[in-house]
Amino acid sequence: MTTEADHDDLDDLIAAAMQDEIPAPPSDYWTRIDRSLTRATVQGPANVEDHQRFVDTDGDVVRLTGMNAPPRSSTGWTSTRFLVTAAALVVVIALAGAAAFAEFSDSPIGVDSTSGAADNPTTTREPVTSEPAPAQPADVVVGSFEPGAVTDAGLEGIGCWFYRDGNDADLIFHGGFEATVMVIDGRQIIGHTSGFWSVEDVVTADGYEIRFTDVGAPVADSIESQRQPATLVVTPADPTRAPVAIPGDLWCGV
Amino acid sequence: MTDIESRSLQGDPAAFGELLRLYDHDLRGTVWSVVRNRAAVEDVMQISYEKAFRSVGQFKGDSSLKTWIHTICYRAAIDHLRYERHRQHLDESAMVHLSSSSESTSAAALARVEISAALDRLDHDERTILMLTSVQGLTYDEVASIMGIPRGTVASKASRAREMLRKAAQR
Repeated sequence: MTTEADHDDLDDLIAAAMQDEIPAPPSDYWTRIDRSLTRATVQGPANVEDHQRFVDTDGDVVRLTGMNAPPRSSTGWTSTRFLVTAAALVVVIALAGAAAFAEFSDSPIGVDSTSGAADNPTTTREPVTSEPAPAQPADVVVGSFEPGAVTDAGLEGIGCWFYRDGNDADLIFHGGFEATVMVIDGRQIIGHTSGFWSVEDVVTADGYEIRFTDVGAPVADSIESQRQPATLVVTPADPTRAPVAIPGDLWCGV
Repeated sequence: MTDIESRSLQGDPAAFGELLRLYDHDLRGTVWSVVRNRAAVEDVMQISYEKAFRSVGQFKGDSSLKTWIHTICYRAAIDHLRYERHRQHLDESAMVHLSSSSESTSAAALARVEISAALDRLDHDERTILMLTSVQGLTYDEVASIMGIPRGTVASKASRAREMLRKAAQR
């Protein structure tokens, strides 16, 4: 594998080609920027709730209120995680409702679409009937996806990432600025729960609860990202099915 | 910390504008590597700069001010890309920008043309990693910080992208 220390003629060619591509700013560029900064001075500091938005499956943005983004910490997020209050979670789930937690059948992520997933992800769970339950309910299966699949799916590739057993090739969770993505029981689940930088408990529309336990001390691996050992626990709504606990590494970055 | 940075952090728009003039080319390169659309670059730059200025009070000094603004620009570019994908209105007219030197017949120039074309075939994150490393000389750690991905992912994507471009250059 090439390392960052390697440098050869190829780098020079890449650099030259990419430099050539960068478009020059238009003539009125700095006039507009300066005007924009002056306007911003009048408007005052940004409202942190600029980030508190909910993006539905059509890409429309609906602002949420009453939700506080947890403060980010360079020394650890254990004090800020799990900050979704009951009220906020209710807001998220209520707003998410049917639309927020969607499965992408045409997703670039390799997902077994034959695993019995509901045709309509928005369908609510049927009430328990007198029909006999399966004698041996299947264990919850958490799948993997490629890191690039998150951004390929049109979601912001920034946030927290969980890798199984410290293997950064085996990505099984992304909790981004705007969404949580996992593959559970063969279905890709994308929960648009925007506005959080760190990882919170998430309950999907299907009733899976996703949370992290045994979170260890953070290790700073770069300027503003860090790694922490943790265990990802996925608990199905079906009480006859046991939760699955997966040890690994949680990365969070700006 | 420079005087311009200090005044910028105090909310001085003139100083902040001065600072942006110093950083603009690199930041513009990063945004371009993501959105690949000239008109979109201008929109994203303006939005990012205004957002950075309005949020400058939240800068905690965990990284350099340039890295912090870089992160805001990258996020804004990703946001733009996402919305464009939702609307399915990607403007493909600005996707290929061969340099004027592409008409040269030298081997190096031909390789550069091939690389320019191959850049469009890379994922935007791979392109951004190359922009940040090969053009701007940032370390993998700095790139990981800006893009919010693990360092190992930066390294593997950089390696894959370079290999792709190497093959393109050897055609």
